[in-house]
Amino acid sequence: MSNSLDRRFFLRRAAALAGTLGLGGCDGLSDQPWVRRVLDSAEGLTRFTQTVLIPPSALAREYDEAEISKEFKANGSTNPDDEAYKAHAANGFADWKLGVSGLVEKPLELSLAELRAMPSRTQITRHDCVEGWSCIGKWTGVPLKTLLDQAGLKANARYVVFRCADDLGQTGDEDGKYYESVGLEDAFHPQTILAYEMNGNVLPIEHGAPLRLRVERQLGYKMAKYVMRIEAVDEIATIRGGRGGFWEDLGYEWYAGI
Amino acid sequence: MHEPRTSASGDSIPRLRRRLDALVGPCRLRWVSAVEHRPADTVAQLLVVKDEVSNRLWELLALPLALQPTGVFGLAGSDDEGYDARGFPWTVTLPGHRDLSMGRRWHFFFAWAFVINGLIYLIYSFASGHIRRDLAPTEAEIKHIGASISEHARFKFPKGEEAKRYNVLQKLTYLLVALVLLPLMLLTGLAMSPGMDAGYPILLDIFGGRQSARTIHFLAAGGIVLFVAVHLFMVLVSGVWNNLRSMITGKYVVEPAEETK
Repeated sequence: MSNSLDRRFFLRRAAALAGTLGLGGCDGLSDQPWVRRVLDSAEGLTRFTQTVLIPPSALAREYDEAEISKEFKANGSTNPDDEAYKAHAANGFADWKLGVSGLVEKPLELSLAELRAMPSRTQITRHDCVEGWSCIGKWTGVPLKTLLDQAGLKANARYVVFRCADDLGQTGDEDGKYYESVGLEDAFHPQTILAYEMNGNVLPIEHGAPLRLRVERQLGYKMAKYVMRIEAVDEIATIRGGRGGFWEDLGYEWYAGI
Repeated sequence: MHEPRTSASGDSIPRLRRRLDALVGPCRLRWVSAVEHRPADTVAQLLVVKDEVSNRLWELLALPLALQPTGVFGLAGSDDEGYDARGFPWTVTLPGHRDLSMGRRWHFFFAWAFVINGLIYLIYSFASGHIRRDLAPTEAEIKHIGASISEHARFKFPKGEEAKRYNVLQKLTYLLVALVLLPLMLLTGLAMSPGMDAGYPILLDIFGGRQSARTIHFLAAGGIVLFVAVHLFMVLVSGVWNNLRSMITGKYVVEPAEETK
């Protein structure tokens, strides 16, 4: 009895496998949770290997003015459809404030003018999209480290989460809003800045005004646009889809170094 | 990323192909470090364009070379769901539908299988002398490469003692694949990683930037596909059962060399 069941199970598996011999046939496999788990195991290996191979202090290459892309592709949201955001945009973000909260000693509320008055960093870097294309742009902004130092991270803070204005998921509520998160190593990296200028001009709306995150050693989807609030947290698994970001919740890797 | 769906109700596929309008899902090969949207930098382009001749696989347009997948090459979908014009047909992409994150999972999982397997193979092949003994061609072989090419072209395969060794064309091909194409796949792949580029900027200097690395990655992958196709073809035509048996049992039947008169 049990033998024949085993055999039937085996035959079914074998038939399923035979049906997947064409590449297109692997679609069925992609839907199997155990296949996803096996495939996902590579992500941890990739992240571990890159952590070992890439020195924490390594800087992304910075380019010359002449290498700046004539046209920088604006991807994802390009004009957030959010009432509060549109009101801020209409008066040049004069009354807008960035919130820094969560596991910090001293929560902050900073206006764009206050952010601009802080020490800034300018970098000409290459933006790498997960879709494959790249563009080079010049970014000026406040190092995230400066803000985190000023707010004072609590000892149990392990991630920095960025809450954005754009409803990329088009759910019409908070659940569709773009968000991202980085670990502390990237949060304190010297090239990790909150940019308010692009190519020497005020950051345009299509590229994330008033503030866009730059995490130069990872892919473009990590670099949240329209950043409204920053939260220090100890765990990302409890936030939304639990994978640490808008695209991550849809299956992309949290560590986007490759 | 536009994903236009053409409703297909009542349309024959050739008519539908003609109706597929330009510039959907282009796959561009570039030779620059970063810049997008500059046609002059484009080495070649896989475009899905409007085409009056629906059965044409690809067409030489102008320079830079434009490859046109017109339906046969780049049409995916069904009559029920409508059609999606793509750079490659769904039968050779993984997954078949457009799902970049799932494609990345498959890609990086098997990238690891490839790297681990490749490292073991290379270490063993160098340490055991396999490369020096079996793969490195001798001077005499290189001199007679012309004869070897003509024998291959006529499907005349070596007999007797000669059949026990790789011939010079095999040796050069295997060396090219194992020591050039496959390492190139790994290095150009790493050169596309923003993390690795930060840690090892030399990757960018070697390949001339991320987009050039991407182009080389794509071309090298094409080279490997070509190798596999030719390799399998040769396995078939040079005595498929003898070859397969020898892979599994180690027993290979050598035909006696013909008497030269």
